[in-house]
Parts: sequence; C-alpha cells; structure tokens
Amino acid sequence: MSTVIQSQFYKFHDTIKLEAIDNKQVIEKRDMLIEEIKAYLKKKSEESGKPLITFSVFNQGSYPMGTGNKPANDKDDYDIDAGLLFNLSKDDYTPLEVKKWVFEALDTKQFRTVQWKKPCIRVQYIEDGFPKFHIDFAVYSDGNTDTKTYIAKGTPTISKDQVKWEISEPKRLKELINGKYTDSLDKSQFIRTIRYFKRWKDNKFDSVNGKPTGIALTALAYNGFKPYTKEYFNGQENIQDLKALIDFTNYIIGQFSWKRIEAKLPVPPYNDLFKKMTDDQCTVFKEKLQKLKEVLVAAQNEADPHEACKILKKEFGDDFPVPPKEETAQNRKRAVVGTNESA
Amino acid sequence: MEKNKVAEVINHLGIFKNIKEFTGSLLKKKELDFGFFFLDKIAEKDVEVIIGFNKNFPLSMPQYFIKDYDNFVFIPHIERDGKVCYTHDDYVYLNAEDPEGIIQETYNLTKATIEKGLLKSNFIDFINEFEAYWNRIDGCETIFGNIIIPNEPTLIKIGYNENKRFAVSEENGCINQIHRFTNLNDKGVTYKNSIIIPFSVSSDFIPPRYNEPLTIEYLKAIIDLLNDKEKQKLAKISSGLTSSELYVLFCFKQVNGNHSLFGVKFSNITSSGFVLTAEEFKGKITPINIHRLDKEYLYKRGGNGLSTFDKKGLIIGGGSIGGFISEELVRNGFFDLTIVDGDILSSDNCYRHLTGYNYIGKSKALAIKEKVERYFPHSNITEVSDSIENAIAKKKINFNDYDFIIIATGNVTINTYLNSLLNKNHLGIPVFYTWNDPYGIGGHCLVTNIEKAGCYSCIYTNENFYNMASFAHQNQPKSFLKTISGCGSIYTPYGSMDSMQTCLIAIKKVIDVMNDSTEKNAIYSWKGKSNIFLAEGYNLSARYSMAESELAERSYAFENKQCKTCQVI
Repeated sequence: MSTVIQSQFYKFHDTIKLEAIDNKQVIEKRDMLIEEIKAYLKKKSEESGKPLITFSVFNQGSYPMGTGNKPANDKDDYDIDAGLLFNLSKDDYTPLEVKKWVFEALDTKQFRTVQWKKPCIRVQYIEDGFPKFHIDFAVYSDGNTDTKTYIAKGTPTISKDQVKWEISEPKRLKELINGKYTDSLDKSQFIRTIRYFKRWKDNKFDSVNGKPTGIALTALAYNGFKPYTKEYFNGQENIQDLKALIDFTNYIIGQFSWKRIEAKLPVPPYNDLFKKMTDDQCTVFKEKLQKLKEVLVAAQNEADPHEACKILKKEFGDDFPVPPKEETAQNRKRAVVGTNESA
Repeated sequence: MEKNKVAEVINHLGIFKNIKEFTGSLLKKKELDFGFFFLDKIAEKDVEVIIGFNKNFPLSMPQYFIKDYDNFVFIPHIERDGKVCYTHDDYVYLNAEDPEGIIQETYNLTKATIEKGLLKSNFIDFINEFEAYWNRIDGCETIFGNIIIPNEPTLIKIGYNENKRFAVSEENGCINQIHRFTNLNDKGVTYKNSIIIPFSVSSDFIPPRYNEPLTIEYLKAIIDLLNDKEKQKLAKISSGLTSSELYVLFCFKQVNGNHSLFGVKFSNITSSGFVLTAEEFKGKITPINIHRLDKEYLYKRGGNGLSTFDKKGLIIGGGSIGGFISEELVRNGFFDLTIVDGDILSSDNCYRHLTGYNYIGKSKALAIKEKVERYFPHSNITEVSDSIENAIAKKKINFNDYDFIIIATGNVTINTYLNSLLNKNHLGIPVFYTWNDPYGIGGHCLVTNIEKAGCYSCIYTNENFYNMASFAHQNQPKSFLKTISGCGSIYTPYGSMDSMQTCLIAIKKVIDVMNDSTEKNAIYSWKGKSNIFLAEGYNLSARYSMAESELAERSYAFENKQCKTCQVI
C-alpha cells in the first residue's frame, strides 16, 4: 500500500481521536457532579443518623480504553462514562434504591437534565437548545461477601424482572482491550481500526436506532482484528491500516449467520451486544459492510493515492483527508538507488 | 605393550590352545614386533592362525594370518600372505583399557571371516571386491583408465607414451581428460585399438588365485557368459584386432551397482584370429590392473553419491561467489558448466577469488575454467569472457541449453533484467540468485523460476527498491562502499568465507532442486556476526533478528502480489 494513503489514515486518526484535552470540560463537570453525589450522601447520613455510604470512581467506556472519538458532527455530543463503586452489599439495597441516590443528588434542574437509563443515570448538558455533552454514571455494588461486583440495572418505569443486580467486571474489559497486543505497533493499529470503524458507523447510520454500538464494534475487534504492521517475510515494519480494515471488514461479514450477527461482551455478563438490533437493522448493517469492503478494495487497487482517498472519504466522512492531486501525481519512484548486494 | 605383557593377557584370556611364539619373516614385512601361533578348528577344519602385534597395542589392532595360506583353500578377505581382513583400523574404536577384550573380539571377527569362507557363505564378496583379487595375481601390471562403462563389447583406445599405458573410451572428451590427468612427455602418444567387454556374473564367479597362472580358459569362460547378440557384436568389432600385443578390458556390474573393471594384456601373440575367440592361443597373458580415473569411479569416492553428470549449468558472474560455486559444482558432479563474466581478474580481487594471484590479468571466466579444469580433469568448462548482456545480444548464450542457471553478478540492475527475461521466456529452468550482504552479516540464495510467482523482482517491489531479504536495514547512516585509494579501488566489504558460505547454501539448493521435483521458489539465507557492521554504525534489518526456524518457515513467503514481473499473466 502506498505510504501516502497510510499517511492519510494517520491524519484521519489524529482528527477523530478523542483525547484528554478534548474532554477537559466534560471531566471537570464529572468531577463536580461526583462531589455533589458525595455531599448528598453525607447529608443523607447526617439526617438519618445512619453510617455514611461511600464509593470510589473509575473511568469506563471508550475513553479509558483509548478508543473514543470526537463527535462526528455538531449535532452529536461528547460523552463520558463513569463507574461508581459503592461500598455496599447488593443484599442490603435494591438496585433502584442506590440509583435513586445518584438521580436525586444530581437532579437539581440546573442547566442539565437527569435521566434514568437502564444501565446508568445520565446527566445531559444542553447549550443553545442542543445537547452539548452527557455523563453516564453506572452504579455498582462493590462490598459483597463473594468479592464480586454487580451493576445496578433498571429504571422505575420498566418491568420488575428487568430490575436487578447483574454480575459485572467493568475494569476487566479495559484490561482486556489494553492487553490484547503487547507489540506497540499492533496495539496502535488495533485502537486506530476501532476508531475508524466507529467513525464509519457514525457517518453511515443516521439515527441511534439500528446503529451498531461502539462497544459492539470494539468486541468484534477484540475477537477478530488482525494487525498488518510488519512484513511476514522479513519482519520489516510496514503499517497497512487499509489492509487491516479490509481484513477486519471481512471478519465482521463472516460473523453474520443468516440475518443476524452476534458479538458477546468478552467479560461478564457476556451479553450479546447486537441483541437490541432487529433482523432488518442487522441486514442493513451487513449491506453497509459489504459496500465498505468494496470501497476499501477499490481504494487498495487504485494506483493514484488522490483517487483512492477520494473513494475512502465517501465511507469515512469529511474528516478523511484527500491529498492534492499534484502531490500524489509526482510520486515517481527513484530511478537510481544504492544497493548492498555483492558477489 | 611389551611381548611378555601381551603373553600374560593371552594366557589369562585362555581361548587359544597350545599357543607358541611365532618368529617368521612375516612379522617384519608387516611391521609387527612379535607374534604367536596356535591351532583352532574352524568349520570343522584345522586352521593354524598367527596373531601378530606391534608395541603400540592396544592402540592398534592385532593382525591375524592363516599360516601357510598358499596351501590353504582360496577364500575371500585373505591377502596373499594369509592376512585376514576382518575389519579396518579406521572404522573401529579400541578401548585400550581392555586389551583382553580387544583380542577376544578381534579373534571372533577373524574366525567368523574364515568360517564364512570355508562355508562359502561370503563368496559374493569375491565379486564385490573382484578388482582387489585381480590386482594380487602374480605379475599384474597397472595402466591408467578413463573408461565410460559400455553396455556391450566396444572398441576403446590404448595410449602408449614411453612406459605409460592408458585405456580410454573413444567418447568425446575422454582422451582430452586423460591428457589432463597424466603428465605425458613431449614424444607424443600413439593409440592402438583395444576392446572392452562387459558381462554379467553369476554368484559362483570367482577371481583367479593369486599364485596360479591366468589361463586362456579362464578368460574364454567369460566370453561364454555373453549372450548371442553380445557375441555377434564382439565378433564384428574384434575382427581387426590382430597385432602382436593386445589389451582386453572386462567389466561387470556388482550387486551394489558399482562396476568392476579389470584387464589382460596378450603379448608375443603368434596365433591368428581374435585371441579370445580363436581356437588356439599362443602368447603371453598378463593380468592388468586399471588405475581408474573415470568420473564414475572417482566421483563416487569423493562426491555426494548423486548422479548429476548429465546436467548442464550456466553461471553468470565469475566473481568471488561465482568462482567458488563453479569449483564446488564440479566437486559435486556437475561437470558441464558455462561461466559468463567479462571482468578481468585484478590483484585487488585475488584474496577473495577462487583462482588467486596466479591468474590476474585473465578474464575471470577464463581463470576459473583454467583452474577448475586443471584440478578436475573430467570437468568441461566453457568460458564466455563477455558481459551477460553482450553474450545474450551476440547469441553466445542460449538459456534453453541449460538445466539450471546461477546468477552471481552482485549487480541488481543486471539481475533484474535477467529475471525479467528468464521469468517471461524460460520458466521452468531453475535459477539461483546469490549475493552477500556487507561486512559478513550474511548471504542469500534465491531459488526461483521453478514456478512463475515469486521472483527476484519480488524482493525489490517496494517504494524504495530495498532488498527485502537483506540483513542490512533499509535506512543506513552512510554507504557500504569502502575505498582504499580513491574511486579506482572502491569495494564492498565482505570476505572470502562469506562467499564460500553463500556458495554452500547455493550448491545444496542446486543439488536439492536437481534431485527433487517438489522444490519450490524460496529464499535461503545464512547469518554471520554483526559486531563489525554495528561498530561501523550501520543498522540491521528485522529479518536479521529472526530465528533460524522463522527464516526457514518464511523462506517461501517472499512473493509480492504487486510484482510487475511474475504477477503478470
């Protein structure tokens, strides 16, 4: 593959990746909200005379895994996921009871809305009438005699059988993703590929419904990604993101069984991450993947990097850079090269 | 060990009855210091056995003799003086701490050899070692021979040069080769017709006894072994052989596939007709030992045991690698080679070139031809003292004439040109590209053109024209070229041993490919030390750090799908 095309992939990745600095405002808000929850619990303890309930916080979701992207367009908001590990036993409290503390602590009607979500409590910030960013707080019971961690699932309005403490290993997922590759080149390409795919789905799917989630794509990558960073023959560094993308796209297409695709979370509760998608939505996903594959192969076969990148831009969106024609047109190989063969 | 000590060991062993000291002249002839003799019963026959020692015993084996062998039964593995050949010193380890055991076990072997002879169970060995027995016949003379063994009675030549005699086949090259083998004087050589008669032996065919005269009846019995067609051929070609002196050679195929070759000289012939078919023979018969200089015989002794005489090789580039490859190919039975190189051997090159200082000023191709042919008279080296581009343009070379091609130019431009030509027009002729990396870090042999995909250009199909097989990294702080005294003496640093090492892997692959049709296109590399390379500030490639097993596993994986030479259908 042309190094020119690989350079465009690097630029694309630099453009879409979400870094700490991009999230600074959100992180500040999150820390502020955590303080509000702590204050709420302190007050509650003082008023009831019961012992103070404490919790610790950890980052979860794509941000700590390094697979987070900036929003694809202005309509989309930044988000951040935080896990609250409460030092309490699931046998002493119901899931809704604990989630309700978080809800009540944050629901102060100030420049934000607080929503019950099945796996979390979401705090949404609005600016000029549009969502600006949101923070999801997942609530865990982490003081159990069996030493396991349980996530609080449910909302006050859904059926009671869906309200439960569900076994969970929220930190383990991050460890799995970060530990998948020891080779730094392989690891970087793995992360880049997840980000490319997440941006691709944001570019190719309009609504939330029927759009595969980032975690579903991450789980697929965890299971089926194959790095192309070195020549097999001689071990020489040769990073080919396009080849890795083609291979990974093929892998995902291969995971379809008739109309559906399944990808399990690689940690408990090992749930199918495509379960919410209907058969039709799965079919649309497959069709879009097939189109993606065609485009990637066409780009690979295109001799002119300018044209190849134009093709790729259609799939990955406007952030994918296209080098000027005049730059790529003069990409003639050297005609006089030193060698080191002797006989 | 002194005599008394050995006597003590023998007495302690207690297997030899009535043992007495032996003092005959045989001991001195055989450079033995003392000996004993005793009577034993072997295959129900009384046998007097002498056991001789020298003072080095037990570092050397004892020798055993059948006493008065002249009057004993003629059996295999017994020399004229009665010495029993039960094994060979070089092929056994003697545990010097156990002299008693050495005597016991060597006598067991001796006894078994005699016993088999008396029971005639090893008479096949007479056939397999026929020449050795023939050479022991009283009055046997020796001549040189460069004979291609035929399938039927065939005329050959006997060369006479003063007191030298040699037998040669009439096939092209045999006479020329014998001239290279033997220093013939200026008085010239005269040739007389002679004949060689191949025949098949039966298991009861035994050589004449050394101390009995060789008779015409014995030789006529060989003629009786020929079938009618062979007899007719013999009659046809022998009609003119009527001089007073005539050499006749015989040969037969042993069970092990080798040929026994021996002869007789008929002299002072006064009878008429061909000596072996005429009713009467008057004259003298002398057994003739053939000192064999033919390639089948010499090559089997020193070669790799494979038959490669009929393969023709083309070597493009007669530099350091090409020179060593030429000689080593000949040593391995590839006698018919063509070497193309227009360069002149200079003194700068002499320490890493096969031929050395004695050949400077000659073209490298000619220098290699002269040296190799001088040392290996069966070789047939054609030199083309021209660049390969010119040789092709002038039609001096036709690639289709060759069974394999070795390219050792060290010139990527020329190699790429040849690759394109061979891949396109001569697919199926195996081609071996060979080169060294600088500073002794390694060398490579790319085997290609067996199949279309995976060629020399594949390894250069990348944006920087970097050799993907190299142990040197693509990015280097400076050029590898060195200079001693300006532009005129630029060279790449590598040594003679590097070229030899590359030569070795190439030769092994040539042999593999020529003998195994399942071989595929692949790259084989050897790794050398990198300390000087690194001390000079150069960078190694990732391939250099691969384990031998990884290199082997990936040797086929060099094909490049973007290659414009081999990927075009």
